[in-house]
Amino acid sequence: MEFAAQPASASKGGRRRFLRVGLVGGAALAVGGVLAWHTRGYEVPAETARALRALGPKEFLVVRALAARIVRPDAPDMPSPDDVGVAAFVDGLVARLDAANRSDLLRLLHIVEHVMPPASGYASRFTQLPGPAQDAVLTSMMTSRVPLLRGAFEALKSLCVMGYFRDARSWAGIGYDGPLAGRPAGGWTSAASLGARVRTRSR
Amino acid sequence: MSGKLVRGRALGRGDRTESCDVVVCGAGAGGSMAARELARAGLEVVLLEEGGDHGPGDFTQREDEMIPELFAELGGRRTEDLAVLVLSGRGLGGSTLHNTNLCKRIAPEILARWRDEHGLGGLRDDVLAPLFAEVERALSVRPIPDAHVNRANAIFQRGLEALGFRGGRLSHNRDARCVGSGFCELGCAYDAKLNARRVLIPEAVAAGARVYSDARVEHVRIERGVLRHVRATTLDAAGRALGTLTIRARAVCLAGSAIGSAALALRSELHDPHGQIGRRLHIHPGAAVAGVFDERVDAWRGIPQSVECTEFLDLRAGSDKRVWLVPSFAHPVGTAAQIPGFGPSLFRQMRRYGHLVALAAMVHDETEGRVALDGGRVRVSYVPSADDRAQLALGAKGAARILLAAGAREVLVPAMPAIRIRAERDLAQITPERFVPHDARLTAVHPMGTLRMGRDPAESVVDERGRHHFVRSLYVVDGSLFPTSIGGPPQLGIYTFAMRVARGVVDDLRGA
Repeated sequence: MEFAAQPASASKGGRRRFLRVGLVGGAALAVGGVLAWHTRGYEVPAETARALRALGPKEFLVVRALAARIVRPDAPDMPSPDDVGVAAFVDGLVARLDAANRSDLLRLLHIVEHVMPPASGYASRFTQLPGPAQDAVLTSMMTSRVPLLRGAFEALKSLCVMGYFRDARSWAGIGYDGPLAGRPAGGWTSAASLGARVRTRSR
Repeated sequence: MSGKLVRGRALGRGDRTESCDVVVCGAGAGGSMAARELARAGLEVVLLEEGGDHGPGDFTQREDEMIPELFAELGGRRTEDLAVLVLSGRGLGGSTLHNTNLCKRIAPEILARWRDEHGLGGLRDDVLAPLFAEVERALSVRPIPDAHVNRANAIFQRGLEALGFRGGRLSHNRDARCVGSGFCELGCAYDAKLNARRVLIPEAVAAGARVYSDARVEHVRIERGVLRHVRATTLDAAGRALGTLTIRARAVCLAGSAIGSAALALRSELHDPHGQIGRRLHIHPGAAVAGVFDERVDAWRGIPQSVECTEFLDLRAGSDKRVWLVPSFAHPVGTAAQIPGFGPSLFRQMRRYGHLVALAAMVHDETEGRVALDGGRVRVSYVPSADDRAQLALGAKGAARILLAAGAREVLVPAMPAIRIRAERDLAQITPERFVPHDARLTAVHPMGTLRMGRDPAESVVDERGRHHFVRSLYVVDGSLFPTSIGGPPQLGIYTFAMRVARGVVDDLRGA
């Protein structure tokens, strides 16, 4: 897929340039009528809005939509991203970022919401796309020929997986037994007990 | 003068000024060792650290809580193109809080190269060997005993032996408190690490050093070649500014890691007529390779790294084998971030979590990256060269062979698209082209260089004693010193060079 709103040269520039060009491109598309630059329709419950520390309601909903696809389980024995509060966790983490990195991330969320869908052939913003179309947008980022888009996808995925797999409810399904602190040590198997021969030759 | 350890967050609001002989900026391996040596020599020392002070009770063994606390930029620092995750530590103890305690001396081949190519003739084996030994005694370095080799490392060793590959047992600095919890990279809740925080900082304080956590150094003020002061911002628990701490001193040691020290030097606009500051960053870029085994491994339990493979590591100059292989296992968040894809396909891979053995192919890199400032942001630029990508492929292929020989049903190389190996004939899929930025998942945990030693001021920042070529009261005591990559875990080398530089500082100040 091509990142329509981004000239090829942006891929050779830095992160800042990528984010700046991406947003300018998105705005240009909006002016051209290809994309309606929605600013409304991002309502969240008042309690949620009050609890937000770094994200606005709009960014919160973009993260929530991203998490719903990136950490969508393969079976119902695992909790949903909303069950474990991925978007709220990301909000808390972003609040701890320094100003420059926080600004970068917020810009990236706007690019996902407004620029990536039309670049992938969709007229709606990301949060209003059906799930399979959102997957297509994310796949286009993940496999993009624009290196920074692939990197941006991995950064967003990292946030979502931390928000998801931090929760103890996600551990049973993968066979992880969680922190040992507060429990008796042990349970791991030494090489000696496995009969491994020990070699000391090194380097 | 009595030493003390003060949490900057406990100082409250306001501006303070202190004086001392030497101020050390950064409390990782290098800074802590330097502070200890300087204080023991009778000098007044202030040690400043941006991160917090964490005790065993603070280490919750939870990735979401510890990664943001123990790593710079909340553990999310990436190269400018977002392709490589670059991890470095923060907190009293720096990266020694989260590292896996591996201790290896800098190899004679590396030191020979430093002498021959960088004019560092004084770095002879007979000069450094006693210092390495002294550090090893101070930190109780010893081989990791059989009883602490976990199942993943035993499987790795099984593969090495099946192929007859060179390798062996690693050494570490842990003591009998170690219960093999496997949470080393999230800080030790059992206080078993004989690291900078447990050993050196208490010794520095006992010798009179004043140690401040939560104190971010903003700049070093040098005027006409003379050190005026070092200014830090004290921070609250959320990282918000509380006040300032101004230290007037006769000398300053930079110890904020290859990234942090270079950034501080740039912010401070240190005299740099040849534009050397921040250049020649090395990071040991690493690619993970995971084997899926029928047997249950639970690789997160036990000491994570106790066996190494050096079959593909020849540290002589011009070598075409520059890869160090060690086990590399992560807890669920780190593992999920490495696995390609998203949604149900990601979960299907994570279901096999308990059956995975992961190895890291870490390259003794020739690529030279750069640390620069972009407004208020630290910019880390690093794109692996074609030669280093070939080394990544060599290492990934070697790791895959080891895992297959150990009985893996399938081997996965996290790349886009993922590489799946089920037999030797599939290894041809692993090519250097698969290790271009963003296609392979690359992680780096050993930043080095950027303020490197050398005889020629046009090609380096400090001399072989760690002293700045132009600012005579400024020294470097961390991995920034290293003129090249070293091809192994750097902590022992950093401790040792910090000790050596600090003793030179003592000589200089006493002779002044």
